[in-house]
Amino acid sequence: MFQINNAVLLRRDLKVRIADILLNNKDLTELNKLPVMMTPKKSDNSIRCCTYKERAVTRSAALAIFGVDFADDDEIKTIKEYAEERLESGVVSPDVLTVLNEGCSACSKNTYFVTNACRGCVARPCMMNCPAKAITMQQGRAVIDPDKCISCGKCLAACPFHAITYVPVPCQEACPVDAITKDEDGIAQIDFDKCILCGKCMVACPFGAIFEKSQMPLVISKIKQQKKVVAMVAPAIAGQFMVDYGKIITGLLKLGFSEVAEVAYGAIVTGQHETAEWIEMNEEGKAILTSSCCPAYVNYVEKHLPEKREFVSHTLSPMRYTSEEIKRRDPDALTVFIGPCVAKKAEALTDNNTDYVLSFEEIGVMLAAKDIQLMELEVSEPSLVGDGPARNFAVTQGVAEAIKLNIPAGCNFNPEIINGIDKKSMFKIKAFMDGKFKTNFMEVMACEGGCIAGPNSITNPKIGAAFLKKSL
Amino acid sequence: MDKKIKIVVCCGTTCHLMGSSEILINKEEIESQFKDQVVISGSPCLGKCKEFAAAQAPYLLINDELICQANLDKVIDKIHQILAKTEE
Repeated sequence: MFQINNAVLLRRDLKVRIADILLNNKDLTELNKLPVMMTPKKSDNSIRCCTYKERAVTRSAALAIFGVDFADDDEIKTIKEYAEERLESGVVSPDVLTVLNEGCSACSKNTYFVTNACRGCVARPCMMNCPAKAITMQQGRAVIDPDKCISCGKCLAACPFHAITYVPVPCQEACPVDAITKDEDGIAQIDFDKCILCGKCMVACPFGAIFEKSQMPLVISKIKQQKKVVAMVAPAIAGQFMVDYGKIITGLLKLGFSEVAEVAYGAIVTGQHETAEWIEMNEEGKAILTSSCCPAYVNYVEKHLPEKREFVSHTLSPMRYTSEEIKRRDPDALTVFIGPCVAKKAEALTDNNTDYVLSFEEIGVMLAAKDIQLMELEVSEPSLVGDGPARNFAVTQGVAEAIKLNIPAGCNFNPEIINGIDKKSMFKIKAFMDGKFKTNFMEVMACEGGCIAGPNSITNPKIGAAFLKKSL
Repeated sequence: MDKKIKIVVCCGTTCHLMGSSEILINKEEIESQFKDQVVISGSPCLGKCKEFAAAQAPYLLINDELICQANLDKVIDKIHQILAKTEE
């Protein structure tokens, strides 16, 4: 899912500027200047239709970074006023994603489109083959009526001039569970009853209009209040900064986290419990068990296959075992999960022991704002330590491999791997749960490649995997 | 041509965040595309983000000339430009 493009860079630039104001104790009034600072008059930075549109999008993006939902913006309060309000209340927003209506281009919903290459031929196979009778000839050219079109694609296949093209709505196309609809103005709307928070739409939107509501400002304020804030790093972090793992830990300590715990610590426990669960099921008969550490996958089952919930392992996620241990040692510590995942934010809301969630992108942003050069640092040790197989949870097949190591000899552990949730793999998951496969364990990761390719990763998964391997 | 084109990619935190690793990951490909007339290396923070702005990152140097908002396209264009000049 990893991508570097202009929309991503603009978002990171804005986040760096906000982190700079907060971390370096600048006057919050600076926040109000951001839209203009990022797109000054007569600037060639304006990518959208005009400078003013660009500034309006920057404003709503800044609000999302402070955790404000676009729908709640009265457009009268300033960014600073919102920021102060949010920092004072300190409450984490319940919804994780928001669509910036200003930014959404309201992409046309007619996905099949006749181009200029149409010659209005005699054969007219597009019209003949259209089961919805959606195509008419206007001024010698085929035209598709978007209200009638059922998006079957028959016209595209039939046209001898290749004059019909498929223009998807990127967010809708990326969503595996059809959770994105459009309002009367064509603006994307996320249906949170269906959304599994995989983050694929956020990465796919070419206008950068789908935003995560960030908790970065809240975490920064806790650090500045000298609270004991513990960073819990997901194993995928080892591949994110192209430096040794230990240097990343020093970097986090320099940011003001009081200690750094590896979530791989909890992954060891998860691996043991999941193995025990599988062995028990296997002894009772044929095991049909799927992994439970990917929160987007758990959301998928809970929202779309609730009757199959029993087939998902009841083992808690590595984050929960890790946060539990930290709170056991010090109930007053504030725990911050740091990962590449959007869905973890929702999972953390249901975990009393995890207080905040930050993304790798936000950690990168904070390090940049503080001008911490990881390469120049010494290495440090984490307070809770994982092991190699547990760190490997971050890569597809990692969970299955870790369990396999725990399985006693003589058991026929036969895993199936789902590398990324999409329409096709969803059928496979269902079929597995219906007992149609010979395999007896299924590892599911919503992101293709595993967590190292998560929506908030900042390094190409190829490099990420190589650096992660070094840490094993 | 005896002198190779030297490309130094900043690997500081800001440049990394803004995508400098995308150039480094293609190091071998670029070097072989230009038949080893180009040498690409990574460098600790060049300090340009303090001089200019984070938004202009990632930074890199091609034969000591500073390139802002660097990406693969820009790098390859620049190499072609330099090669065309030396051939004249």
